[in-house]
Amino acid sequence: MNFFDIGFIIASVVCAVGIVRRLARWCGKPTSEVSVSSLSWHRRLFLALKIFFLEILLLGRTCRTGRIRWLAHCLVFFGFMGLLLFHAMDDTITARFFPAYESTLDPWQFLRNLFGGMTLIGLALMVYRRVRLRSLRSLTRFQDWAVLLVVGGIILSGFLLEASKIMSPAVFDVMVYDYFIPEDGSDITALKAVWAKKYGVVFPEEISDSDDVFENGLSLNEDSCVDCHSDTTSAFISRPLASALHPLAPALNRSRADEVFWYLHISLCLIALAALPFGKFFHPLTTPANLMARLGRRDAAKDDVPSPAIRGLGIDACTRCGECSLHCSVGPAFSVLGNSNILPSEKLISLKGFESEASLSGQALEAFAEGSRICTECLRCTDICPSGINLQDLWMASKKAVSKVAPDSNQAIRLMEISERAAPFGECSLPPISGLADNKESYLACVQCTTCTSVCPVVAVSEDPSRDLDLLPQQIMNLLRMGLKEQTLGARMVWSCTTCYKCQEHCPQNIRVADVLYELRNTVATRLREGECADERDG
Amino acid sequence: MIKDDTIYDVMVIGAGFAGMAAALFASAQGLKVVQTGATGGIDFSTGFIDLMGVHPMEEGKRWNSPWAAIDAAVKDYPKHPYALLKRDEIAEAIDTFTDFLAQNGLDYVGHSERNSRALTPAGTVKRTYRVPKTAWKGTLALESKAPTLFVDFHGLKGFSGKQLVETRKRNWPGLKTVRIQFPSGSGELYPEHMAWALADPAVREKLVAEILPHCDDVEYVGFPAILGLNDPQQVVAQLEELSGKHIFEIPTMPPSIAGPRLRAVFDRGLPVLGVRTLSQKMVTGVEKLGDGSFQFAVGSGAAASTVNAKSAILASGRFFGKGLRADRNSVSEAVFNLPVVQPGNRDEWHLHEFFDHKGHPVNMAGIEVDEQLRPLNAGQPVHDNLYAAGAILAHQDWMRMKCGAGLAIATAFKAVKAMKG
Amino acid sequence: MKGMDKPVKYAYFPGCKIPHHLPEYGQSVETVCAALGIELVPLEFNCCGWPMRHDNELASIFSAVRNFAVAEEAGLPILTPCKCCFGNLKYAESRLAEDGKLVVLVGRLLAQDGLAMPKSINVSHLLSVLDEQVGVELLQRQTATPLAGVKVACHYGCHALRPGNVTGFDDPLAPTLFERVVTALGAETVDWDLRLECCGHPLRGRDGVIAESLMRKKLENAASVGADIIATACTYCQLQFDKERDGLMLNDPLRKAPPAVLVTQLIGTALGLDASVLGMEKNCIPWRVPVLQDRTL
Repeated sequence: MNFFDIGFIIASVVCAVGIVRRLARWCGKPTSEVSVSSLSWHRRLFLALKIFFLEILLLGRTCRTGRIRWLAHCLVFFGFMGLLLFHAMDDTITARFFPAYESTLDPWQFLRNLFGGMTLIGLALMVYRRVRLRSLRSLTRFQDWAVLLVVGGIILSGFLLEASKIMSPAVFDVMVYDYFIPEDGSDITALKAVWAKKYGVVFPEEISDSDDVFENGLSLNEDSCVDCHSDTTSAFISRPLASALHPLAPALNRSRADEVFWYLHISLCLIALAALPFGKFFHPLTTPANLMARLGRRDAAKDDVPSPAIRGLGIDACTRCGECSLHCSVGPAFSVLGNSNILPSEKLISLKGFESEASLSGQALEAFAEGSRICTECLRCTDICPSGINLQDLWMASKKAVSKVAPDSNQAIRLMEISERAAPFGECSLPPISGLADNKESYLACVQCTTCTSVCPVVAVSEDPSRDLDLLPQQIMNLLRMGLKEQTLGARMVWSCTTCYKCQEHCPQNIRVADVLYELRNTVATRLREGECADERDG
Repeated sequence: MIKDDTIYDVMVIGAGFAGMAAALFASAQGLKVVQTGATGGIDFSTGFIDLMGVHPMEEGKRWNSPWAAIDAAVKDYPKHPYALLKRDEIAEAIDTFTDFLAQNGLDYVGHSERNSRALTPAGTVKRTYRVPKTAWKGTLALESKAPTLFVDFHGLKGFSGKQLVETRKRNWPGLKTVRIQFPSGSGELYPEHMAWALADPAVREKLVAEILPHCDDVEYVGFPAILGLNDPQQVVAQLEELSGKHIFEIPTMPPSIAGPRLRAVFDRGLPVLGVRTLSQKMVTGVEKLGDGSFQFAVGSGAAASTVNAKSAILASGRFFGKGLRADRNSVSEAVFNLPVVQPGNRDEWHLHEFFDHKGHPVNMAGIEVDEQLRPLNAGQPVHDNLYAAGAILAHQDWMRMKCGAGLAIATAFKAVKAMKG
Repeated sequence: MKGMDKPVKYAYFPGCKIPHHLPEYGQSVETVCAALGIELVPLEFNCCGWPMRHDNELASIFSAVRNFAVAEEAGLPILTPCKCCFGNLKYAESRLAEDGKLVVLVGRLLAQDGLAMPKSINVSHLLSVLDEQVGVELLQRQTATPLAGVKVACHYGCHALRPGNVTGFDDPLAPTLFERVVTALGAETVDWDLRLECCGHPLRGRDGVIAESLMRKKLENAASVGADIIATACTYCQLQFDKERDGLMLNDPLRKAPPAVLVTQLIGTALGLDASVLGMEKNCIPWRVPVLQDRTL
């Protein structure tokens, strides 16, 4: 058992356990009402093929959200997949289909550089996008950088490994020892001359550059090496990298950088394998699966209510590309309130927490509840999601669930006893909102004529207004003009206002009754979210 | 700023009795009418149309004949606006006005020569010229002293059957009262909401079922004015059919249901006559254009607009209607800054006693007009195409003289007539 | 079919609820506007800010004003078929006009998004555009199958109508706009007491009892005056009278009260457009067959 085998076993076990846990979480949810669109099997097959080619292979959905992002993703997707299939899994795949496979032969050497290069450019574009877009930058979390770092690290360490091997005399010596039988002492020197000049090995000693020696070296090289070694110039990234590192070569060679980079490269690959079922690392599996499960739909129609397992898959299919948040209809609310749970990509993370056994509590729960509440279910995130997640369905389902455990200000007031409602925030000293309700001039002209109450349709349909609404509009105005705002905040009239503006329109004294009621609701909402008053009440 | 390119024949400033009447009369004359004004006057009406009830104020003398009362008042106050009107003009104005109300389902009843005696929620009797049909049987009951039941409701403030009985029982023996639960809703009740609930025939049936046990020995049943929002006559008719009794309404304290009923008639009826209504908007500025017409700035914010009219009728009311503005020193007129006839200084605005029978001098303040109802400045019309009507006119205290609606309607009629030439 | 002489172009503001909750409104608005020569340009707007006005006024106003900035960048006036969107956009406009401090705050937030405070604000509700830009005459001319004999109760919706000095939509106490448009299609309009009252939808989720009572009152009133249908021109009102009503018990008599019809479905029908392009099959309480079957259509 060597380092690789032990590492591979550990990483595989972590990965397998992680995947099983994920699957268990998806399938462990109680079954709910599910409806499946009635499609014929051949229609489904056709759609599945279409999705496979257009959405999974060609990343069609990503293309809808932006050319650069699509390009970046294609580069990483094809580059990394290429490396994974023919390079990382060369024993199982490449060698089977190409018996003459050697990693140092072209086209493999060239392809490795090509795919690695593609991946790196793609990753660079991704980093640029995350840094460039202010709103995206602020949403970027550890896991986003982690994926970029690990994948980028794999590729970079790979290039460094290749470059260090190119210049390494130690590697040369091992190869010579294993595969070359020198006829006399000058053969080694000759071969060294060729490998130093043509392949880029940096030897510690002075290498002869006479033509005779080089000619001899070439023929030796022809006989013993070229069957397994293409010219390293086809390693169009690693070779220039090796040249660039030339000044450092002696030091690197002395410290066996090739081995260091090998350990680094392999470690990063094993980390990636182990991390696969965690966070964003999982999306290369879940996103295609989810796209397939959705069969190309971008809505959340009633005929397509997913099962809990598919919901779980959807939650895990997020690539955290942030497109949903960049286009979120209530994004401006995030700008003002600063609660990232307003934005879909971030709310999804809270939803994962909410759905987990530990659930959410305290501030995290409040923030998630507020985000859920503010969502207007406009479908835009669902429509735009490059992973095809049925976010709309997730939001509509979680909205109901979270409102049960984290009441909004309206529910909070309604849950209070009459005595509590009479002055729900007696001790609070937060400043007023926009000042209508706290400004006595707002009601100076009020003659208490009861017109606002008379025209109020809510009072009209209420069976017993004083029992069900606590105070009537003109009574609220009266309390406010006497400076007794605290006694109005919990009045259910404030919360049962249907915002029809009849009171305000009909007021003979032009008092902004409905606007004042809005403001009172704002006051309570602010106090509850700031938490200060609630604490005072509880303490 | 919305620009309306229409040049109207007349701009009516005000949406109280005078403004509504002026818009009605002018459009009936075939004029192109635009009307502005906020809620106010008409929304606080009792529903009665008074011509002239009390004079002299300090004696509180009540009159059976409004015409005699008008003559007496004009004799003592030669500048009273009624002095500018002939009796047949007043009568025609009121008839035209009530005909329009009747066409829209709000019939008015009264005598031609004399005032009717109508009950108030306090149990007092008020003399008035025209009463809504739904209140009419109350005047008959009062006149005949027939056995009557007053119904009031738990939760409805400002209306007490007990008080009505106590006040009237001395010379009206067959009175009784009952307080019941309103069949739809409890707790604090408001007339408009009760009227809204009575749109449902099932609620009417329940209401009759509630009162029938108390009705054996009475001919009439009097309710507070809650019997229907826009179709009170139908509601009363159904209650009469169900109960077999004569049913009538007694106005409640303002704002009563009478206001919304009257307003609804005009809100629905005036646009049909071609009147362009700009409800809830105040005139914020006026400019006289070269051709003598007016350009008004109307409303504020998104609803701000300019309106052009060849002439104008100022029916903006007094202080509550915001036609007159009082500051620390004087009273001014809000739209045209017309001269306001008023006491010499602020000390003279009010008498010492709040309830002084003579009435406060500031309540006689207003605009002085010529015989064509054109506002005057130093004896000369300010504009030859500007007329004034209603409460804003000087030399009357409509609230104490009980001449508000009649004066408003009649001066509006006269102003339109003068404008037509 | 020909539209107006001069085509008019608007930035189309459907609002948040249409895409998922009321796609038939979006579909019929787009179809009818195309038929009448109103060009609707889709821009990426955000929420009008109305739903969050209960929570935070600044968030609500910024949300609204951000839309003005987006429309101004495109150089287009905004057209919205939703009265709540219209109302809140107008409210934001009025608040900016009266509160200088708010202008500064909102300006700062706009700058964060790389947007500038709009110099001019131009928002219209669909009904106003139909009345003022298209005009009754053109609607009459284009009516291929007049809705003769159909009695329509026009439901005005609160947030466009009131407060009149903020919305400037029509006379807040005596509006006539909706009836003008509906009459132009050959239909009859009915007068009803609760014409200007609230549909009750704003209280859904806050006070369900009152929300439903308000809906009941209105439906009963419309039924009692013999209306065949209730015409709406607002996303939320239609949701209330169609989708929410559909949640009533199966034997509830109100299911039989006049069905709610979107004004654009009504116009589309009068223009002779196919039911499918007007999203008619998505209405929960069907109206086309029950109401129109006896008439010559």
